[in-house]
Amino acid sequence: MKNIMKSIGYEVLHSKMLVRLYILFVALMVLTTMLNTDSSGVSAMLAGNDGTSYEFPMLIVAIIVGVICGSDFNDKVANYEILSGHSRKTVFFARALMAVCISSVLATVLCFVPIIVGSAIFGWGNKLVFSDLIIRNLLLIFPFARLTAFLVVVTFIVKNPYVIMASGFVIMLGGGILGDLVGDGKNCFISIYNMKYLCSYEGWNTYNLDPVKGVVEYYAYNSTVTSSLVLGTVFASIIMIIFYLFMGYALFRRDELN
Amino acid sequence: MDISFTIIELIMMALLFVVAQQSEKKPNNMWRLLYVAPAFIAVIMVLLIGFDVHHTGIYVAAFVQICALFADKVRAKQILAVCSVALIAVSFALITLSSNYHREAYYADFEKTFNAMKEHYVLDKEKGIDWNGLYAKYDPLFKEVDKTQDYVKNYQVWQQFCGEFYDGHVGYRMSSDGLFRYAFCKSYGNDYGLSLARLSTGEFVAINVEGYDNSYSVDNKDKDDVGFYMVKKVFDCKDADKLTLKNAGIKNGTIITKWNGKPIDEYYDEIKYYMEQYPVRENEEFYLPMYVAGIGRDMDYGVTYVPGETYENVEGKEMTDAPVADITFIDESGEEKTITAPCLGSYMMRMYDTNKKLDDGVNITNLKWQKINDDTYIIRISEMAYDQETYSGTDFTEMTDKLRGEVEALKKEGVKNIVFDLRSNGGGSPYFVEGIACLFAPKGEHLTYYSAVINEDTATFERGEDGKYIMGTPSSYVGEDLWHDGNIILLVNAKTVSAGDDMTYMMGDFPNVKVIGLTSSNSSCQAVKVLMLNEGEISFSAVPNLLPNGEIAIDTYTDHVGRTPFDEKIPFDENVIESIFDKGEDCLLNYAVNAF
Repeated sequence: MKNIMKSIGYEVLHSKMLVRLYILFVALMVLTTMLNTDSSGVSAMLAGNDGTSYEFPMLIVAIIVGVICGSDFNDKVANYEILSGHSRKTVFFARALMAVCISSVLATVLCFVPIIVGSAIFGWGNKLVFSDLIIRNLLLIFPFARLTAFLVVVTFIVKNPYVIMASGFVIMLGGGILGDLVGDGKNCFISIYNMKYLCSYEGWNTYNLDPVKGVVEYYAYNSTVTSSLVLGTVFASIIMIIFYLFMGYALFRRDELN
Repeated sequence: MDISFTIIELIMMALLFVVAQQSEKKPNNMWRLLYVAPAFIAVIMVLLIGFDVHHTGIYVAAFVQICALFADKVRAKQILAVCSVALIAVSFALITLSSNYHREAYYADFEKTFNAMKEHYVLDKEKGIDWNGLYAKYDPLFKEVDKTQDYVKNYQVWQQFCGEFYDGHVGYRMSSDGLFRYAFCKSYGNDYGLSLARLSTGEFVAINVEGYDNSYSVDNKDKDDVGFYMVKKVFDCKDADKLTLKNAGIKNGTIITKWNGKPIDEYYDEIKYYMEQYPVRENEEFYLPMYVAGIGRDMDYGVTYVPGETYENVEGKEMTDAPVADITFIDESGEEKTITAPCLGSYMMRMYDTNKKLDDGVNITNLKWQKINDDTYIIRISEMAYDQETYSGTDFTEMTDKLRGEVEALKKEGVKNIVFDLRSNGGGSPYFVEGIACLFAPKGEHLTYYSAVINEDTATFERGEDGKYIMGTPSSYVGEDLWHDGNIILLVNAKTVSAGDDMTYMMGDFPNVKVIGLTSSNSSCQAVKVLMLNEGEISFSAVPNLLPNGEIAIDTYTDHVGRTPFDEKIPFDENVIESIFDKGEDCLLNYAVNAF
C-alpha cells in the first residue's frame, strides 16, 4: 500500500497538466478577487460573495480525483497492480486516501488566495474578523475531503477520469440550483452546503434613504465560529468520508475489471 | 414529500429482495449498484427535507443495504432486505404517531424577531416600548404556542405582540396562505348577522346586516381576493336562521344598546388584538365596535366555533353547541328589545367586507383621473409606485412630467377642484410623493425629511446623547404651484399609511389643500424592514425619517395622537350608513366633492 501511495504521489507531483491547471485556478481566483473587491476591503467582498472561496477549489478537487483514481483505469495500472499481487483493498484505499489527502489540502490552500491577494491589494476591511475567517477556511478541509471521498466512489463506478473532472462542474452548478430550490442550502450534512455554511455569515442588513442615490444598502456580519459549526463540520465529514470509502470499497471489491 | 420518500425506499427494499436471487443467477455489476440506490435516495431526502431524527430508520435501512453488498449468500441479502423494511416501518410509525415530528419553529421565530427588533426597531423610545416587560409577557405565550403547535394561537399571539407597538409598519404574516386564511377566520369570533359601528353622536348601530340587498350575505358565493371562499364552508352553521335579525326588524342603522346584556364599550378591554394596526387612538375607537360583534354569549374574545369541534366558554367548560349572541336594540316603535341571534359562520368574512365598504377607495387604476362634474376631477392614488424601474430610485421625472401635462389640460378645461383619493393607500416610495407634491406646492424649496446617520459597521441607526437620531441628509423639492387658483381635497382614512402618510403630511399644509376622511391617516411613516422567519415574516420600522428639529416624523408617540394634518372629520351618521350599506354608494367621495 505504501508503495502504491508513493507512486501516486510521484505521479501527481510530476503531472504537468495538474500543475498547470492549479496555476490556472490560482490565476482565476486572483482575477475574481480583483474584479469583485473594492475599497471597502476583501472582507466585504468575501462576506457578500460566499462562493468565492470554495467554488474554484471544488473543481480542482474533481480534477485531482480524476487524475489519481480515474486515469489508472484508462492505462490499466489498477489492473496490473491486482495482477502483481496487491489486494483489491490495497489498490482501492491507497488511491482513495491519497486522493482525499492531496485534493483536500490543495483545495484548502487555494481558498486562501482571495484573502492573501485581496488583503495585499485592497486591505482587509472591517466587515469580518480576520482570525474567524482563517479558522473557517481551515475548516473547509473537511468538506473538501468529504467531497473527494464521494468523487472517489463515483470514479470507481464510472472508471473515466474525464467524466469525473466534468462532474466537478455539475456538482457546483447542481448544488447551487438545488440550494436555491431547497432553501438557504446551509447545513453540515452535504459537503457543498457545508462549504456554503462555513463561508456565509449571519448578519443584519438594512438601508437608508439617500435623496440622490435612493435606497442604499448596508450590511453588518457576524463571523464568529460556533462550536456547533466546528463539531458539525468535523463529525459529519469524518462519518461521511468513512461511509463513502466503505461504500466505494464494497463496490470495487467484486467489480469486473476489463 | 417525506411519505413519498418512505414509500420509494420501501419499494426499493422489495426490489432488492427480488434482486438478491436474480443477481446470483445473472451476475452483473449493475445489480450491485442497485444496493447503493437506497443510500442515494436517503441523501436526496436529507437534501430536500433536511436531517430529521424521525427518519433514522430510513437512514439505517439504507446503510444496511450497503452492508448487503458484502453478503455473499442470497438468503443473507434477503434477510437484510426484510430488516430494512422493518426499520422503514418503524420510521413510518414514528412519523405518523410522534407529536414532535416536523414541529414548526414558532418560539424560534419569536426569539429572532424580539432580538432583531430590540436592536433595530427605531421607534422604541417614542412609543415607550419596555423590552424587558414585553419579553416577560410574550416569552411564555410563544413557548405555549410552540408546545401546543397551535398555528391559530400563533397568529393571535403575533397580532397581540404587534399591537404593542401601535405602529402601522409592524405586522406579521404567516408563510402558508392556507393556514393564514384559516387562522384569520378562526380568530375573530362568529358571525351573528351584523357588524357594529359607533355613530359620531355616540350611539352604537348595526351595519352590514344580513338579509339586505347591499349587505354581505353568508350565502355569497363570489370568489374574494383573500380566498375566504375556500374556507367558508368549514364555518357554516347550515341550520341557523339567517334572517333572524331582519325578521326582528334590525336593519342597517338600527341602534344597538347592549351586546350579550353588556354595553358595547365595556367589551373594549377584552379585545386583545386586531387584524390591523391603529396607531391613532381616535381611529382605534372607530374600529373597535366591529370587533365586539364577533363575541358570542359566554364566550371570550376571539373564540370561534367550528361545527363539529368543541370550544371553551368563559368558565373554561368544553362546549359543542353552536354559540348565540343576545342583541338588545331599539325597535321602530322606540322600545328596547332583545333577540337571540344564531351563529351563521365565521365573523371574519363579514368584518372584512364591512372594512372594505367603509375604507376602499375608487376602484380605478393607480394615478388615473375620473371626472366627477365639470368643476371636479378625482385622481386615484392607491399606492406610491409608478413603475418597477423607478421604485427604489429617486427620479420620478417621467411621472411628474406626465402629471404636469394632465394638470395643465384640466386647468385649460376649467376644472377647479381635485380630489386625491388616498383611501387605503398602502404606501411606497417617498420620492414618488415628492414627484407629485412638487406640482402643487407653493413656489420655492420645500424640505421634507432628513435621513438619519447610519453606523456603517453595525448597519444600525444610533441615537446621540440627547436621545435623538443623528441628522443626515435632507430631502427637498421645488414647488411649481400649478394649481394655485384651484382647490384640493385629500381623502384619507386609517389605512392611508406609510408614503400615504407622507403625502398627507407634505401636502396637507398647502394653503389650498384640505384633508378629510371618516378617520385620519394611519400615522406611520418610518421606512420598513422585512425579516424572514421560519414560519412567516415580520415587518417593522427600521429606518428613521426625521423632521428638521430632529424629531421622528409623523409616527404617533405614547399619546397615540396622529401627527398628520386632518382638517375635517366626515360625520359618521345615519345618512352615511344608508348610503354605504343600503345604496352601495361611495358617499365619502360624494361628501368630499361637496366639501370644496
